[in-house]
Amino acid sequence: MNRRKLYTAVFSMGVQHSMEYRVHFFLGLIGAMFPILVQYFIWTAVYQHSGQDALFSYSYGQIIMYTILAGLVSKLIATQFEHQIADDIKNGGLNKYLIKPISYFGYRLISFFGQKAIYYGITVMLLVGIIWFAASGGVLKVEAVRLVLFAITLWGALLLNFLIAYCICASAFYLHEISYFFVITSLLVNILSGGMFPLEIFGDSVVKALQYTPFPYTIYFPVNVLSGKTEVAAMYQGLLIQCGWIVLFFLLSRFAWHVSMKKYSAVGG
Amino acid sequence: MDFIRVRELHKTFVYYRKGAGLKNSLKNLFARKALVKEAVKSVSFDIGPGECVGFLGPNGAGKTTTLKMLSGILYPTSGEANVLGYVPWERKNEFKRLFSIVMGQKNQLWWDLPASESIYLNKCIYDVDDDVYRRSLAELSEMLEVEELLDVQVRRLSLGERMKMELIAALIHRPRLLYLDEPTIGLDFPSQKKVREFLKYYNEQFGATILLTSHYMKDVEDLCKRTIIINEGNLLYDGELHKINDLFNEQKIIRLHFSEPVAEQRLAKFGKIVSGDEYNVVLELPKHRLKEVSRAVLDSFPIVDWTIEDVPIEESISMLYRKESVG
Repeated sequence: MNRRKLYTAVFSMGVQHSMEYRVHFFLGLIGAMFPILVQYFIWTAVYQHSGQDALFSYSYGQIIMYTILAGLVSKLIATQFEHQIADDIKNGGLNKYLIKPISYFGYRLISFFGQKAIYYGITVMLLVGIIWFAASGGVLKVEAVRLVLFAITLWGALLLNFLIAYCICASAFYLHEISYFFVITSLLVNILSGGMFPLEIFGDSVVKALQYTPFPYTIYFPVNVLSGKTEVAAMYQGLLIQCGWIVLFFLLSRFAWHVSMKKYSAVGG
Repeated sequence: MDFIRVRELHKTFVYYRKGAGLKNSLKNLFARKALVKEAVKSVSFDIGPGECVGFLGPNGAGKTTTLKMLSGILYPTSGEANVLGYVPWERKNEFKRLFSIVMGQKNQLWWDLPASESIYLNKCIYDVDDDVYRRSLAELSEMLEVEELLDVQVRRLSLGERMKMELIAALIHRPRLLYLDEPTIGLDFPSQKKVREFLKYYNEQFGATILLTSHYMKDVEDLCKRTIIINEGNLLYDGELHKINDLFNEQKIIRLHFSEPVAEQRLAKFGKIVSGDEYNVVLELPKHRLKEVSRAVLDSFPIVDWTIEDVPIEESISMLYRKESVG
């Protein structure tokens, strides 16, 4: 069986799909800038009026860099397929995958990577620019090991976020109208992941508690690996924990889908 | 061995009913009464290799549910089925390679990409050899006259063109078994004809087994020697399409055309008046009275033209449905 060829085709269709609506594609890129801009103005105002050099242990330069990096990473790992999957479940589109010798999970994952490929490329180019700019401004100390680990954790974050979203999607088997549920969960996941602002804002105890959840390992952790906020030892530890969460959510999503699919086949789609 | 063997297949669904209005919506929010619908009740049949079988029944009869069980999308509540040596709902990959299902009302192609992309994806999914793929694609698209349209996004195609693409995508791996759920629904007559001719060719050329549901009698008449009719989940008839008429005491239809006006009620004693006005009347009567009535009518009315016909097949099938729901 030639699975490699199949998944190459799925990947390439994902890429083509993301480019099919060109205006939508570029608007998506521009859209990613707005939250970053809004936050830039808020933080600038906050730091000017506080009269302090550092808030929540972040200097002005660091917080702006965090905001930009977190905004980019959020955009990169955003899944956006929840509605498609919910629609497949509700309107029977899932049937066409059930009758073919292909795994829906594998298909969705590879198609997701395909749809993200161009975003990934553009994000990498932007990151190179930002890192160069921040380094020359003295906000960031570039270390090769951190760059490498950042690249690795970013892939981990992409995979982990996919798996979390895929688990949440299984709820579409049980809830009939789900669009608002997805809006809430994705917003909540984004905030808990540190996509809006650094988790320190919530206070030490919340940061500690969140360390035991998978969320910080999608945005907060990769960004801090790059920015140097995470200690060297904590970086490797964090990488291990991220891998742990990926394995756990992989198993959880397979289980949730296995159970739900049984129900789907029993009651019809 | 039989190709498809179905024994006492049974499927029940749980559903909820909601009365009209806000009050009932609120009531449903807190307490819903679960109702059970028996979509398929104890259906059994066998289909041999290469057969083309029409699967008829009114809306909601259980046709699609049966097809879904036979393709492994749904588990039955009880009963057995064996398709090509596999139990469909075990969903073995080896089984999935042997069949295809085309649903006229569901789209299986990628909406935003050209059909050729979806067809190529199917080639990869079913692991079709490059040469075989190229030949099949050329042959199928030529037969359906859509070579020019392969590179157009699916969303820009007309319904008929899309259906033809669906067929190509479903057949690119040369399945031995093809389920078709209303493949000609909503198509114009030339497209319907083309699709029918194509299916006939595929059935004959590759010896593929076809199970077809349709509400267009022409589809079934042209393609299928054998018909299975179900209603309300029960099997009503399994046999040749044209023998359905025999079930109804061999009724006959006489059409009469008069040269001058005739009062309709004068004909009532000869048989059931199906339709008519003062110049034209259609009578339905048992076959054994045919000779006697013909003679009497010819003698006593100013007839310019007359024909004797079988009851239309649609009519017989409707009678079959009614018979079931009444008794």
